[in-house]
Amino acid sequence: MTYLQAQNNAVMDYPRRDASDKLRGRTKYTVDQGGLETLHAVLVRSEVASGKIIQLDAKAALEMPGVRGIATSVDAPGSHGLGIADHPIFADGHVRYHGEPIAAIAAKTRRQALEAAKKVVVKIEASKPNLTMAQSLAKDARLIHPDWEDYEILYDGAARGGNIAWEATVRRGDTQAEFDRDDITVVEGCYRVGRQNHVSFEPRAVIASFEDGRFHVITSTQVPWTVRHVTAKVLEIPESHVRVTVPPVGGGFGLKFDCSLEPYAAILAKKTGQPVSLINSREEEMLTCLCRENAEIRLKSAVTKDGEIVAREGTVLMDAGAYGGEQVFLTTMTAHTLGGNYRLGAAKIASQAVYTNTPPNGAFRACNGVYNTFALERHTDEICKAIGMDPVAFRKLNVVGDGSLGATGQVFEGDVLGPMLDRMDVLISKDSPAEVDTSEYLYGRATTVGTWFIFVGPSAATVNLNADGSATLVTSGVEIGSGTMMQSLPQMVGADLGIHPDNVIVKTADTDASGRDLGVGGGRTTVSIGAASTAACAEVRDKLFEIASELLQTATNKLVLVNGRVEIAGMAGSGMPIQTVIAEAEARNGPIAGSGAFTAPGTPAMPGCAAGHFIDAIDIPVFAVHDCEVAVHKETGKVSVLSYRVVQDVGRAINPRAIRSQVQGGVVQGMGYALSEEITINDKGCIDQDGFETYKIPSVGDVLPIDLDLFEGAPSAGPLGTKGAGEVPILNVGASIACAVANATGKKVNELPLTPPRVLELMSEDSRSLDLEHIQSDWEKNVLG
Amino acid sequence: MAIRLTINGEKQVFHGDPRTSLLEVLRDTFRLTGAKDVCGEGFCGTCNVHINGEALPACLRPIGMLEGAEVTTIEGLSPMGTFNAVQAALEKHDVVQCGMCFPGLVMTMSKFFETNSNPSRAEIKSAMTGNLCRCTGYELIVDALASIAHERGLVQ
Amino acid sequence: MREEETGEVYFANSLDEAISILSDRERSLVPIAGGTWLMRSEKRKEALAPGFLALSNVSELRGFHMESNQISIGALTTHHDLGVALEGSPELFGLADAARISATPGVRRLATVGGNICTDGFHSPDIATALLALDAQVEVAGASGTSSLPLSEYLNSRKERPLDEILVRVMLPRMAGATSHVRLTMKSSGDYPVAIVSVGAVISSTSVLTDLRVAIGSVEETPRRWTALEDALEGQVFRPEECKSQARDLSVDFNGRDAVDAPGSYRVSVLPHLVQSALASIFNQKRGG
Repeated sequence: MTYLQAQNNAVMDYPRRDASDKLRGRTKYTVDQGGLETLHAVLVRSEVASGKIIQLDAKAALEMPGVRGIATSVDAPGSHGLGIADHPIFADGHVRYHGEPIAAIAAKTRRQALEAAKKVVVKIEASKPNLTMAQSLAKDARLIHPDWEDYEILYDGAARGGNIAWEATVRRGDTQAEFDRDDITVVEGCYRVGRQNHVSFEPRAVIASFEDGRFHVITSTQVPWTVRHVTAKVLEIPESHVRVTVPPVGGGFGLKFDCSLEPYAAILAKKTGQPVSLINSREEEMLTCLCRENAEIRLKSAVTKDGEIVAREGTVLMDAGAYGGEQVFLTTMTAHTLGGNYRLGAAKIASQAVYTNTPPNGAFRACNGVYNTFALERHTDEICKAIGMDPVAFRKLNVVGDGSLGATGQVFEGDVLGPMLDRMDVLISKDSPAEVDTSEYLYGRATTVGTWFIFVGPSAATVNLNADGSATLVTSGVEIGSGTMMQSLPQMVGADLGIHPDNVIVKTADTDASGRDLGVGGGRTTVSIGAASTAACAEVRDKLFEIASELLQTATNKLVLVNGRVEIAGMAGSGMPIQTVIAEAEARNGPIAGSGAFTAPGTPAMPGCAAGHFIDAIDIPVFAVHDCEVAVHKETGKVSVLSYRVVQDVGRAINPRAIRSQVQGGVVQGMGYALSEEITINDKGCIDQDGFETYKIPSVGDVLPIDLDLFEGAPSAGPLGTKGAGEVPILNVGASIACAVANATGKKVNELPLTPPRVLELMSEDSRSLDLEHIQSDWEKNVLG
Repeated sequence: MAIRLTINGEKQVFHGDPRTSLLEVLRDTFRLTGAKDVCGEGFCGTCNVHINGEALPACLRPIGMLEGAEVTTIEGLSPMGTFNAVQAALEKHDVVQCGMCFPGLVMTMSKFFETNSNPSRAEIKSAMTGNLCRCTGYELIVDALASIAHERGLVQ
Repeated sequence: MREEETGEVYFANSLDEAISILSDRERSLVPIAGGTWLMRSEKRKEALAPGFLALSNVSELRGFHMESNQISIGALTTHHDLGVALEGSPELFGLADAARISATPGVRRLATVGGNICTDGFHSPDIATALLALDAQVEVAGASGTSSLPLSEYLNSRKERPLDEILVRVMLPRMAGATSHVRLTMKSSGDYPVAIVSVGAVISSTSVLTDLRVAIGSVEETPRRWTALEDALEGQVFRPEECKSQARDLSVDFNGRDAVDAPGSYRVSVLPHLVQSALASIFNQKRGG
């Protein structure tokens, strides 16, 4: 089969196979599992944000009815982290955030465990917490990790210091020389965003058991191999002693891209000898969610009067919370988002993960991209205003194209954003502008661009070809709701093997059965697991053709797989059913299987200009153009989105209907981020929004149908030319809405979310532009190294 | 305290604290895990079940007040192998994602379509306001449900 | 399932029985109707009551009667049922809207009129606010018998009222004119309002406002009438901008409630607009009718 045929055969609106059970309530998520023998665990959490534990006594709790076991820091000596091992799973003498686990209790029922938790004596000598990044970065700020220099380094090369957990910097060219020119305009702005909670409807949940000397962890995760690794690391046991399996996951969005509850359940399972279930309550999910981090940004650009960006400096502070976690890794992304979108002359970009005494943050759909895109696009509109240029014309002039340099000096391939902007013009021209009652509302519109990437990296796949002509795909993929395990993978394997996707069995992750994998997130399942699967199919195909070539007396390069048969190319009916070939193969050599692997292709960056980055250049960039119209209510500050349009670079759309579903969902999640989902942290260091009453995710009344144009044909290293389509739809929603609100109100919109109180204040006469004094205008003063 | 009620057509007895929510009883005692425990405060609709013919959040109903009640959960809505119109439309239009919100949504909207067979898009949206979803962005669900009336030939 | 600690749910079969059980301090039962507030006690970090006194079998608390001089609404009437009962009563548009839009559809099928009035910890009650604009009286029953008092008085005395008292019904005088109910939510739907304005008025053929009632909810802890504004606008010709500006001048009356969903200052700052919209809605109803 030729590559083109595989591409064409893969394309269909193939429906997902898990819908029927999900619509009957039969699907057993992790929260739905666990029989009568299962114990129920709860965590005892700190009620102060910072302090020293002076007493921890669980004796009375252990005597409570139903209690079977209690675990504390002595049971989990190791620390984990990304880049730096700074995170013990139990507070290790010091409490660093409100809600930090101190002990875990397993009892016959959850109610008994909760009662017992009240009997654990915890005395903490509280200290004044650093609740903001400004506090943590102040001169003489208390160190949240006084021993930071002694921590184990897991990834070399970054500057660290004091409350700065990690720093990633880019220095390309001489920005100062450009800023000193007298023929340029300097535009500078500050931006700030709050946290966003994923609100996956299934909370983080796990059931662990200890069987034959090994742990079996059944968990709601996106990263089975990370869970295996971290559980082993904090328990200080060999990784091979942990098996992780994953039932259907009730939503992830990045929340479950880290190990969280699994080690507690594992420890308790071994202590008690029984399976232990640990499920976060909704309140725990709200208060200790690994949120999309709050961030503070300063951008400064030098632009010629013709609109050429000759220099840019940017500093981004990312609130890591009490432990470095995912933010350490995500500092990497600033270079690729702030340095994406537009061609830049000289660039200096710094991103710092800052420790605060607040709950740790984590990964969330298009991670740091959403706020950097917000800042960049607002900054771009301010540049346009300063030099008197039309914002769309400016973007068409400056967007990256074939041969453009990224911030770290990588070379982009293909003209993508430019043609996408033209496609947006067409999409917009199909409808007339929305009408609003101008006596009550201000109208605004904006078009923004965004650059994100597909998170590649290691994936493995095995394809077993069964005697009945079906194939079983074994990977570490997980179905988190996006449908990749149900749709794109069987579609690709089916196309590769010439069988219907219905005949492709897709096994969900079991670390005892499948090879290592980076996890499900970053739009990578279709690309990385897909590529590994395609490679496994190639081996299967070779084995089939070797036999069939003999049986059909035809050269292997003349054979194709189609409709469940091996055929001689161009001669339908000339060959034989695939089962015949499989039977023959089995008789001669045994069953047919193939294995495949994939990892990051490794796009080069310019040597020496990036420091502290986990990814120096992005292998598969993804672009997006969004446009929206808004009405801002003059009296209440309420923002209504009147229309929303998306042109999305998908590489190749093998399931257009499924992509549409992802775009609709992603944009709506972005609307929540832009408008209503606010998280505030009170003076105790506790998040105020503890449930659905106060944390406002969009409801059906808040949304509208997204007008979507899929842009195909951009270069991609993904199988069949695909790019993951699920992550990027949220990327520039905050940016688009903010720019539209700025255009409507004529005000500097420099903060998200745009809740009605914030917008009303913005519209008031005495509203001031945001100035973040703890980020210096002189870029070099902000950086460590 | 023993509470007698009918769940999915079967007579059941619950022994325990009568203040316990119906949701907890369904999930923990009877292992009917279709109704989901998501917000626990009546905002999300994922635990909606039919109680004496009304779609209600099971998290807000103490079991002690349900003596003699008829409860239908998602598991008892349609026999295996069959779907009602709401389930069929949602499957046909391929709108399910993570799936956590769908049992409650199906219960709410199945009851809604019993009393309003020819709803407008706005009426569908209004009936759905108590059913939150984090994955789908709703509109494709609304399209799927709107197709029910279309396919019945009730809407031109 | 609670194994060690088991509570009680007792069904009272008459009003008298309910009152006598509530008088028995030993049993310490808490009356429960829709349960939408009590069942969330643990979410609020409050202990769940040791036992519930279910009122659902108390027939005296049921019923909806429209008579020539008054409307009587039993305390157990749910929001949903009230919305249905008020269909086709244009002078009660405000109350009907309040009943049809509060909280979520599932909660509206459970939550009762009585619960909305009695729950003093809930600061955004749509029904109670709408009823204030209708000059509602409430009938309460206790060990010493039955009495009635203005709703506003009841709302302000909730914390001190006897524990064995039960709210039986709400009585609305039949009034001329029209009503409307406007609420501002941060989301479009399925949300509690950060400010509620419920109004009633008679508008003459020359657009003069008389018999004006303006009730404000969610801005402070307890809903109340905005008498200063009523006095200022009474007998005036309805001019939207002037109404708004009067409301703006008088909004110093309010000490807005700071809460997670909105700061107090915001709740107060949107009142002029909401008042104007509520009055405009009445005016449009009249013109439409």
